Amino acid sequence: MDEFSKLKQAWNSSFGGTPESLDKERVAQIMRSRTAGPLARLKKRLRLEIAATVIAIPFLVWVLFALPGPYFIFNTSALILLFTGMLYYYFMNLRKVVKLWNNSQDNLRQSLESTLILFRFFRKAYFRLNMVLFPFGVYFGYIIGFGLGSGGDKVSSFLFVVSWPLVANVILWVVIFALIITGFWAILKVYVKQYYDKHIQNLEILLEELLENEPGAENEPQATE
Amino acid sequence: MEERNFINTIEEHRGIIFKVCKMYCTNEDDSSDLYQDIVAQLWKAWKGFRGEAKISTWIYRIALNTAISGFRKQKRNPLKNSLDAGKLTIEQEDNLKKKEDIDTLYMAIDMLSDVEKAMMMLYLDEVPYEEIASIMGITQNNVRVKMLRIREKLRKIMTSH
Repeated sequence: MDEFSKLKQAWNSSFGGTPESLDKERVAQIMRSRTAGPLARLKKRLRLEIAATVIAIPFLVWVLFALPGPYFIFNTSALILLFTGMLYYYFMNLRKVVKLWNNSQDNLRQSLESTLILFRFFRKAYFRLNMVLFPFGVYFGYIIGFGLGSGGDKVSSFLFVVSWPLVANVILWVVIFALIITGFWAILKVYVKQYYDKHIQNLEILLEELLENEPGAENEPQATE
Repeated sequence: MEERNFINTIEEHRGIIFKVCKMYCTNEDDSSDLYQDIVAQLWKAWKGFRGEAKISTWIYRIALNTAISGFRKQKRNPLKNSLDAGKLTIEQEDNLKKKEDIDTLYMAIDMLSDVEKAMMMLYLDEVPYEEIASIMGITQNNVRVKMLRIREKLRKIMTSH
């Protein structure tokens, strides 16, 4: 008797009996649930960032009109454009990847390939959304912290060291902002690596293993950009 | 009506879902999460099932896709519950030899990759190579090559124990 025959016997003894009866109520609950499934959970995770972005846009538009002075026009307009661009990028691509994912559940190879594309997209979207939301958070905190009610003069007096030339002020702010963003970028990078990259790497290894010896296989699925 | 048909189909083929959960999960919590994910995916795909493949093949595909590609937490507490499930059966049957074989089976399963586990499960369930190839999305020749490797791997595992 070879190894497989022995294992087959053991397999049948282990699973041969009728498995535990089906909890029909639980199945019905799962069918009604909108958050069941890996994709639903991923989407849920990004929902907070999307909601924050959606809320931020009208706020920024309000800032644009409420705060006088040239200092805010550039910053706020740039953030509005960034946020709108991010939302457009997210929703346009999300539709594509989810459609692809839903249509490619035929076999394991297709499932691995489309899940990889989906994860790469989510990873990128999550990273970019957070990188855009963070400067907004700093900006928002700054405006709130120094009191909108006291007018643009108070804000601008903090924004600039009056005795310094304009170029020096700009350089100082660019440096401070770059340091904050770099710090956040590093933290976010570690978080995303921990949360997404391990799974992506695991999927890549599995796909590579599956396609080993496969004629004409492209181990790297094409990302949708 | 649609829902009732679905539940009846799941009831009829619950053994496949049960096996996949046992194969890929190492404790009750993970197994319960995977079960929920598989049923959710099956329900989502139910309307698109046109009966071109056998219903069991369709369930194998979705269950394995969900178990392997799904975004689930890392495994904890390897094989504890799978072994416990085996032990329960054995204690009832009071058969030490079978217990040893089942222990060996689970030990061997633990040493296989997720792709190999899927192939081994299909093989042990006597699914033909043609269907295995269709479920995995690879050629039959590749299935044969991989099965030879798994066989070799298992031989080594079993001779070393």
